[in-house]
Amino acid sequence: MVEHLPVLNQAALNADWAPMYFPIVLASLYGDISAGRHFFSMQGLDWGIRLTEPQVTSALVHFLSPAVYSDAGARRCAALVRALYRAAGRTDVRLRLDPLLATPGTLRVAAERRTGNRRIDIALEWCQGPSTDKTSRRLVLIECKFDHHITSKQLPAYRQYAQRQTAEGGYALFLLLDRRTSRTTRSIARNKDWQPVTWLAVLRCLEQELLQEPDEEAGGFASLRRTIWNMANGRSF
Amino acid sequence: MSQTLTLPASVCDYMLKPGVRAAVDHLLEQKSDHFPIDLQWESMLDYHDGLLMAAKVRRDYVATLHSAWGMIWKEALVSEGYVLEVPFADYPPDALPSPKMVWDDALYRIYSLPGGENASLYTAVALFPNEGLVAYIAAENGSEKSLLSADNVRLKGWIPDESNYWRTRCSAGKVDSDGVVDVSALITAVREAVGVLRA
Repeated sequence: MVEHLPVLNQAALNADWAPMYFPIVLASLYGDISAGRHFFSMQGLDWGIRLTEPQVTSALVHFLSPAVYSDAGARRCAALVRALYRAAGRTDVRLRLDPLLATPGTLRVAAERRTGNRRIDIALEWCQGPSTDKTSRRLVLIECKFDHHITSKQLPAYRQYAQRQTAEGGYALFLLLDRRTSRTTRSIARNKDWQPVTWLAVLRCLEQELLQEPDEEAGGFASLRRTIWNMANGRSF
Repeated sequence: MSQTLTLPASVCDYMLKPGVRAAVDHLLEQKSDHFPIDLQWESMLDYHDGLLMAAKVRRDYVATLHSAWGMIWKEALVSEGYVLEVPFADYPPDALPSPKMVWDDALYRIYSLPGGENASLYTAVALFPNEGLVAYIAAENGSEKSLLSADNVRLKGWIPDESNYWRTRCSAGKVDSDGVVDVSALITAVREAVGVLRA
């Protein structure tokens, strides 16, 4: 209290009792928003069209894909997976999968990845350890939803595929939603293995993760993140 | 009389820094029954502090428009004898200075005009990141007929806007990189419009 007295005295003299403005508090929620590489500093695509769900997922996979000449893709994948866990409120790092632990050359990222007779929106897979068998395989499946509902058999089918492909603890399932409706809430209740997360929460967490990484923003990844943010905005965190 | 308006740091950041703008816009959309589950207990209050900061920006925005209105409109209205303000009870709901209306639209002040029971002069100001400070004007007689119809009136410093309003030209009230707005052109425009109304 004593340390605030000068401020309070000045406020009394000015008859200004509104709280002080401290923009730094915004950084704890969104990362360093003053950074030029933060996606808040970018313009989203403004082409008069709304990207479709497959376009969004394909574009995301484009920026996540590992390249021979750079490890930026792998680091972005790892940042995304950390962001997904964070957005889902899963904080125990011992229970998380981590693409950075992939055996070199085994990390794969795919959009519309075939899983039996269905296709999951985004699949990240890698091997962790000396072998390539089921016990070494790791799989992160992400089903993305923009303006669409989940069909009843989708989530169990993807889970069964993940269970067939990996040993226990070798997979993680994330349902990326633009909003929670009563139908999605019912679907989630029936599919406990799936972690529901919102686009806005994931983007916010991803930004904080990416800001910890070296700056390799060439190519429009930040602009894509801003575009998706704009598409999902108007929803809660 | 001062011809410049200095924005408070909060409004200046909002107007000039896209990152602050995106964060504040997002926080202002949050419902009070929501809490982001990715936060931990150690950072629980950060969310509430963020909401408070966003509300602070909006409050300062309202205060800024209030000051701007005084600088731009007050003298011209008094000099023409327009001093009878319409009470809030008689405002249309979408012209009341509620947080949402001022933030989403503009700060309105409505005056009674002589010559009819409901003859009114509508004045407003708003601030935009790209266009800067903008003033609006509309006037109606007691039969809700526009007294400043774009069909009959020419205003040099204004362009016709929707719903029989006029708005000042985009370049009139630009915010400079220090958060200062030169309001001289807006004062001149307001005098022009109020003068035309008298004529």
